[in-house]
Amino acid sequence: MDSAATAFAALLDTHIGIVYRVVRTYCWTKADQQDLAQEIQLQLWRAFPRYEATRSFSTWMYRIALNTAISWVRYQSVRRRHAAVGAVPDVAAESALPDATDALYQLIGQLEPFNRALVLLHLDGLRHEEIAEVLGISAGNVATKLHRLTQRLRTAAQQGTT
Amino acid sequence: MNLDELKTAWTTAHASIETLQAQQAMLQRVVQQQAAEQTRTRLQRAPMIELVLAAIAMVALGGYLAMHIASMREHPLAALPALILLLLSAVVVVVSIVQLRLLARLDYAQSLTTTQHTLATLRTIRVRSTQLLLLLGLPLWICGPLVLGQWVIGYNFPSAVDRTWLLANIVFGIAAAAGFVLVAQRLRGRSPFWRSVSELAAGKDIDQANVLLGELRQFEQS
Repeated sequence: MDSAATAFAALLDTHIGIVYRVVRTYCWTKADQQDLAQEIQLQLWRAFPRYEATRSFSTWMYRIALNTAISWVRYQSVRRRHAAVGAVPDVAAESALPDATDALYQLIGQLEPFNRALVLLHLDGLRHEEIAEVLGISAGNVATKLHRLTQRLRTAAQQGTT
Repeated sequence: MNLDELKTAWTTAHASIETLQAQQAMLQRVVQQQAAEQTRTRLQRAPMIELVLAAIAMVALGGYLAMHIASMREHPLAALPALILLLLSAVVVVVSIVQLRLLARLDYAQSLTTTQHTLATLRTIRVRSTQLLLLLGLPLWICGPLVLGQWVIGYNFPSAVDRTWLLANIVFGIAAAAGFVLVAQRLRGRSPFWRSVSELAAGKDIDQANVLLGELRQFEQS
């Protein structure tokens, strides 16, 4: 492996959780999750020569992973429509996560793709400015949206428990 | 439940799983790096092929028109099929260049809204250009044999055939295009090919791209 590949491997290993969480947020079946994880890592590797080491790797990684995930989900929906194959999510049967975490993912999965990204970034502990940078909106907009999404998720969680 | 409670549950649940994921990722990496180069060209392939073919057609048609300029002055109608094909080729060249430029600009490391906007624009252009070729190509099919005939045999077909014959062929082409779309709609449930053609004609992918653009606009507004 050359030095770029070694550096990439080291950074990816440190931040691999990002790939995992993005994949779980946008895909429900194990096969889809594996495909998307592979696609994200491909895109990361392709973009790596343009990565500036002075900037945050995790923010850069989130942008690529989320862009890939949203594009992949849309591409898969077109492909399945053309192939007349329905996507049947089977979270319960295939998940290796604790029930509570599955419930979390299901709750987030009810949101629109861009809002899902926003909540994921917030849950992963990014500051509003960092979230704004990843999504391409203002920090003020991030705060407003998070406030609204909190209310939506609270209502959804209450409906789920009743 | 609020977002802070969610955040705590989220962090706890993921801590143990990430080590396992890292090991799996290491195993996959070598294969993925080899496949990366193939993915890079996949998106560019169609517009690149179209650009090359249309550029060749433009050069050939330009040469053909220059060669027959004298006879075409006497029979201006004879230049029409070649001019129509030349115009179609020029449109394909322009559309291909626009797509390739957008693809060159496409960077997944940009913000979500920027990248998804570029992707939706690309999808719209791609579908529109295919629709254009399908819907114009079939009615104007007669231009191809007329130009080819004159080129190969040297006989001035456009001046030899009467206008009714030409018109009848164009009408036939329009009917064939409409028939093709109708057949695609009827057979859409039987195979992925017909489903793709039917949805292409209906502009379903454009609808999807517009939905994405709408979602983006809504998301960008606070």
